[in-house]
Amino acid sequence: MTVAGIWLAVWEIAAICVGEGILLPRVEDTVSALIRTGAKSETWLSVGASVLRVTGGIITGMLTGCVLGAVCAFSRFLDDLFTPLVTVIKATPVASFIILAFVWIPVNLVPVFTAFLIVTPIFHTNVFTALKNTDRNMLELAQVYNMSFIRRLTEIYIPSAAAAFTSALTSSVGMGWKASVAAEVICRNRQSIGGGLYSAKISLDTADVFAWTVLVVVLSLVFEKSAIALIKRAGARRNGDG
Amino acid sequence: MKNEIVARLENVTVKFADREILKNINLTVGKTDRICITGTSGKGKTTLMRVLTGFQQVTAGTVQTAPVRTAVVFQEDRLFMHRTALGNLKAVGIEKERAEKYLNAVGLGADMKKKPSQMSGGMKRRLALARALAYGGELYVFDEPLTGLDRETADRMLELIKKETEGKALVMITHDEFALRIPDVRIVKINADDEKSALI
Repeated sequence: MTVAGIWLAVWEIAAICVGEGILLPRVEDTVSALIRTGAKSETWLSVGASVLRVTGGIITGMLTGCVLGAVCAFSRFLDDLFTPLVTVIKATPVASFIILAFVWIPVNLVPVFTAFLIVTPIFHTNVFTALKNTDRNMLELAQVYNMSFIRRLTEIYIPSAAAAFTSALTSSVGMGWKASVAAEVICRNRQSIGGGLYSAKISLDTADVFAWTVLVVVLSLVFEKSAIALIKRAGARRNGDG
Repeated sequence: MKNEIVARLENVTVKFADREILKNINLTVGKTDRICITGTSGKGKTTLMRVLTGFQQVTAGTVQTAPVRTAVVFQEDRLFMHRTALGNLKAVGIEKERAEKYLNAVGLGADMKKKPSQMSGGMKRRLALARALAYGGELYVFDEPLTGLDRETADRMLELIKKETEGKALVMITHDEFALRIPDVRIVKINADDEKSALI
């Protein structure tokens, strides 16, 4: 709270120094805009629609990235096949994907597709690296003790990749939100947070832009913390037997 | 290979780069043999164990092993850090009742719900030993299973090893003082003086 207070104070002082709300609104103006925006029912419809799109993109990207990372870790051929593709996806500007997706697929799916493309390489890289670095000693142990593939997966590979998975999740939630909202702004999705941002921008209502941004940051943080809490809970339940 | 032989090493040599770790080792392990491998550290004892368990390729010589169930205590404990003591045994397919029996036998009955991170070095070693004994087999390969244990506990664990491996093949790296207390034991000394050649 102290840290948040310091940064809010920095923001307020900077806004007073600038003296132009259109360039940098004051904290109280942003809070007012946030309350005003939050009071409208259509805001929550937009938030709901954006949450659905982001969630869809992150979950599909997460599953695809994990599967891709795992198969690439176990198969040299698949690694050679998919790694160039993942490298291209990583290096391509998000805006290029958004514009191309805008041409290729229905506008409502563009934010989903964008989040998917951002999240997939993050999970692929993290899961691939974690599996490649699985403790060889434990794999030898599994061989000696005739552990089945399922047991090796649950007792060695998954615990080995768990930290990398959590790290990937932390990065991808924030990145997914950024990319998805950017897609909504460019595609001007009607019922979306990006749509709200775009409307605020064309009416030069900077406080409103800040209010929508604060909303995205809060939602992203809630998503991230909830996902990590879920993973921890699942891990604790799995290991509960002793 | 005769039925009563579970492993046979003939003129086995292992080199890492230009360094000769084992030279012309001959070792025959019968189905009820008790063999202790002793010698100063860094002389290839663990490499010999790895050859026996099939994890080390040999540079020269032949290795023959019968397809028997083998229980191993590695030089490192190799525990599942996310599991409790009980979970470490269950993770390799050991039934709960059997796991509890062996955890009690090694003196970890009161610590079954502790994770390895909450255990001392000696407790972890006993957990690795409990896992191997509970798993059971026709061949037991133990790499310094008594390391890190106080004298009294080491004595108890040695008695347990003797009892549990009776009538089975046992190959164990350990100190002379423990080796000499195993009945009908064959002691194999590996050291630099005889050019790492074992006299079996």
